[in-house]
Formats: sequence, C-alpha cells, structure tokens
Amino acid sequence: MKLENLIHEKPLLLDAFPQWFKDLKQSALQQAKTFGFPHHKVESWRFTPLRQLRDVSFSRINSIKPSTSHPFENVDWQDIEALWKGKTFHQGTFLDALNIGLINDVHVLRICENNTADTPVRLHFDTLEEVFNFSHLVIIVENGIEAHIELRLGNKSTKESHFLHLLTHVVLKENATLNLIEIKQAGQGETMLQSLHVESAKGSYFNHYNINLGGGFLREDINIQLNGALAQVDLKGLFTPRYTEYVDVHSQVNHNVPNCESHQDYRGILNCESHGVFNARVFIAKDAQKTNASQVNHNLLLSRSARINTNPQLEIYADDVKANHGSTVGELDDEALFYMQSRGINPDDAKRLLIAGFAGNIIETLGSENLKNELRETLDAWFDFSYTKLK
Amino acid sequence: MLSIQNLHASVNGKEILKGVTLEVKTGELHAIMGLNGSGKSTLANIIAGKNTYEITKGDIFYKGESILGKAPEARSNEGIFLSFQYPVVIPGVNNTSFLQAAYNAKQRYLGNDEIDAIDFLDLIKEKIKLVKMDDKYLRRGVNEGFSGGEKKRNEILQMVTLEPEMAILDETDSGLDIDALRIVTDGVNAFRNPSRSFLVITHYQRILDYLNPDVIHVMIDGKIVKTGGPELAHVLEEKGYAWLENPSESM
Repeated sequence: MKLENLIHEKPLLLDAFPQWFKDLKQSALQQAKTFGFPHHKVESWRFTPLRQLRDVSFSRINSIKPSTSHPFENVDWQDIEALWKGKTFHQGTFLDALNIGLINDVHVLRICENNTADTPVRLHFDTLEEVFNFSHLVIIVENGIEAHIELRLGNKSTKESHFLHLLTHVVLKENATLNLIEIKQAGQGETMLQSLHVESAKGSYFNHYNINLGGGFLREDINIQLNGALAQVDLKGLFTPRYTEYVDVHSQVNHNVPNCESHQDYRGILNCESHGVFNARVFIAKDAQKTNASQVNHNLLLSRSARINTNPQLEIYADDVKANHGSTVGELDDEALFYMQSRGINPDDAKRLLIAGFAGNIIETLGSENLKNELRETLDAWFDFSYTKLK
Repeated sequence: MLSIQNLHASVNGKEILKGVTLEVKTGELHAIMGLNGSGKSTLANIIAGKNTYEITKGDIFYKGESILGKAPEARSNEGIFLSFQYPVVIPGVNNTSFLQAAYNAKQRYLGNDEIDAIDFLDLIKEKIKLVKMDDKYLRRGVNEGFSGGEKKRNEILQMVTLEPEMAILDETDSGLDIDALRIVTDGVNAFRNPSRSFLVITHYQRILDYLNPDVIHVMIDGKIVKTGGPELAHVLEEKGYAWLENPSESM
C-alpha cells in the first residue's frame, strides 16, 4: 500500500488508551481522509516532490520505539491530553494525522535533572526497512532544568528502503533549557520526516540543531509557540544533500507574547542534482511587542544542477519589534580561492577549507567537542567523496 | 630574482599592461609608484598568478624560470608572496588553521615534515610579535571582523610565517594610520635580509620613508615611464605625476 492510502487503515485503539485519545485517533484519520494527501497548491508543500512521497509503498505499518540512554516514563495521559486539547489537523499536517491515527504508543521523556553537552540523553531511531515507521515522542523539560538531547535518525549504512515519520512534542516549562541536537544521516532509500512542535513557557530557551547529512528524502516541519515572556529560541541547521537527495525545512515561529527572541541560521551545501528547501515563517502577534526575531539562510551550490528554494518570511502585527531576514545563494568565492592559492594551498584543499568554514558557522557553535569532531570528519569525508568521485 | 620582460596584459580585450619591463635583484627593495588605474595592482596580481587576465605578450621570470605557466600555489610555494591590497575575508575559516594549512603546503612542497597544530601555535605566537597583533585575531575567521589596519598586519604576519624570497606588497600602506604604518614597516624591515627581495606598490612616498627602497619605478598607463633612486619619491611628492605624463617636461 502507498503512503497516501494509509488513511484507509483502521486506527489502532488499544484498551490502555483513554477515550479522548481513541477519539483523537479516529478523528485524525477521518480528517486526513477529508482533506486528502497534500498537493502543490498547499503552501507548505509547494516545492516538495510529492510524488516521491506519495509513492512510498510498503505492506506493513510499524510503531517504532527509539533506543534511549534515559528511561521513558509511564505515560501520564493528562500531560498528553493538554498537548492535543482543541487541536485539529489540516492539510499541512496530513502526516501528523496519519501518525496519531496509526501509532500504538507514546514515548514520554521527562527531564528533571540537568545534564551536559558531553553527557546528553541519546535517542536513536534506527528504522525497520520496508515498513512504514511512525513514532510519537513527547519531551518535557521541567522548571529551571537544563537538558541536552542528541537525537539521531536513520541508518547511514543501509541500502534498503526506509520510511520514518516522527511526531515530536517538546514542552519547555518555565526557565527550562533544551539543547536538542538532531542528526539525520541515512541511506539513499530513506524517507524521513519529523514534525517538531515546541511550546515555550516563560524564560525558557530552546536551542535546536537540525543537521541533515544524508537521506533520499528528508523533511523537518518545525512549529514553535512562544507562549511566555522572555522565552528564546535558536534554530540552527545544516544540510548537505548530494546525488538526487531532497532536504526540506519548514519552520513556523509564533511570537504570541511580548519580549521573546527567535533566531534562525540555516546553511545549505548542495551538490550533484540535489534539491533543498528552506521555508521559514515568523509570526509576530499584535501584543508581541519588543520581539527580536531574525532568519538567515545561506546556501552554497557546488553543482550547476543543484537547486535551492529559500523563502524566509516575516508576518508582523506588533509595532515595536526588531526583525530581519535574509538569504543568499552562491558558489564558492573565487576571490577567496585565489587568496588561499596565493598562500600555497592547492584548489582542492582551499575548497575543503571554505566548505568547512561555511559549515563551521553551525558546527563550531556546538557544545560538545566530540560531536564537533565527528561532524568535521563526516563533512571531510563528504567533501572527499563529492570532489573526487562526484566531481 | 624577478625579471619582468615586455609584459602586456588585458582584461576583456582592454589592454592594461602595455609593455612592463622590470628587474628586481636579490636583496633589493623596489617600489612602484603611480596613480589609480595605472596597472600597478594588475601587475602584482599577475605575478601572483591570478587567472582573470590575458597575457598577450612578454614573460615573467623568477629565479631564471618563467612562471606564467605555474599555478598560484606553486608560485607561492617557490617563494613568491603577495600582500593583498584588499585582503579577502573568509568567514568561518580559522585564521590559525588557514596559516597552518599554508605553512604545511609549503613544507610538503619543499619535502619537509609538516608541523602539527601545537607546534604551529608556538611558531605563530613568535611571529605575531613581529606585527604586534593581539592573539585574539588568531582565533577569528580569516580577516573576519578585522579593521583595515588589522587586515594589513595579518598580511604581514602571513608573510613572515611563509618566509618568501620575493614579497610584493600591494598598497600595504593604504588605510593605515601612522602608528600602524610604523608597525607594519618595522615588521617588513625586520624581515629584510640579503637573500630576500621586495616589490612595494604605493601611491605615496610616506611608506618609502620607512622602507628605504633601492630603486623606484613610476608607472603610468600600463608602462614604467621612469626609474630612479630613492630621491625620485620626493620629486614625485613635490611635483605630482603630471610632469611625467607630458614627455617634453620630463627631466
């Protein structure tokens, strides 16, 4: 069966689920059926190669649980109910609706103790091949706690077809901090999507890294609700597609209250015939005075056949705000290359340094030295391969 | 050391250099003076190997060998250095790593062992004293957030680290206040020795007061129109370039 036909599946209604959750599951699939599979006229799916997604076809659905270094706790359904109260699905969240309809479990990670960048909670979704993998993850960071989570998606050595849709809810209580480092690294046959919803309470800080190092079809939908004053969000990302890979980032940041900050900095390095999309929207409500918001997206195209659609947008209803956005698309800078060559560095090494420098604006801000080293090495290997074998 | 013979060069069909002939002997410091647009920077870039120019005639010899067919990195590794008029900002590429990459490229070329990051840091901390630059600039991206003067000092730092034999300083004095000019020229003077040659490109006589050139050339409209001793700089400062543009009024 194809992905688009999963709406005809029966929702899994386990006895352990409270009635409201069973109702939600039924209504999710019902709503998905009503508005149907996304099409290109829906703004958030405009640039996505939808056929590729619609045609993913397997015979089985799997509710996947990630491996974790921190125990999941028993589900407190009241917590979950609060997240879904009054929410409905729409065409943009078609896959969220499928997810909720078809999962048989909710994984709840509640962080009540501080940890460090070097000792993060580690989560890994190593998906089963040839099945539709769905998962719903809820991360709750308690008042005043500083948490580090490393979330890895995919299996880089697989050659099989994989599909994962991960629906993640992050709840940041007052003055909580979450550093969420997400690394997608998968084979060519993998389709991975994450729908990330964040609710930020007063004084909280959400620091997100969305690092996309490989996978046939990668998409991240980020939805941030700044609901308490002085809440801050940093969304940083890196994508390095090659071959015919597709990487997509859609972010929506809602400044619902005054005195919040959100900053987005995404960098794309695209090779071969790959395609990237960066679509970021910041909404500043009428009451959200003294908002400070920025969005930037810089892209490096290493091949004439690679392409990027970049579209940062601001929607401002308050009158006392600081907001800016911008994006660039370019090739490696010839002046910089000549400058480096004039210092004795050969063109390949010069390009390697330039690419590492470009990505370094994201990677070098990570808190963990081990992770920085790992990513530098991955990028180096990526460069070697891109410039020797794919040149 | 460096011999330029009847060099003609064009950009997009427009001739910029119209027959430059120049000889810098080992240990000498030459200056090329001239107005904007006279072709001075073009000449510097061509010596360093920039490929956006078309050489239509003539040749450049370094240590007796033509270098026109050589890549910029080969010229650098063989001992030619250009201090850029507008040093390029390379965001995200750490200044120390960049210098180390350049230093090791040269060691590889010369068949020497490469140096590791720790030993290189010791070496660079010695070199940086020559240009009185703050350590913090080593930790930044190459020229990232540097003022005009700091960029020029960084160029000289690169020079003293790579230890070229033929250094070309392209308007290293422009944008420098008097203190910075003194620091930069002190750096250059400390680096001078009988086996190194320099070609200093400038508009003004000011930098030459600190550098004591052996020979001064005046370039106008793509040609060297006059060559003389150090006194020529002062004549130019007094009379301007106009007296050289009209041959009937020349000396």
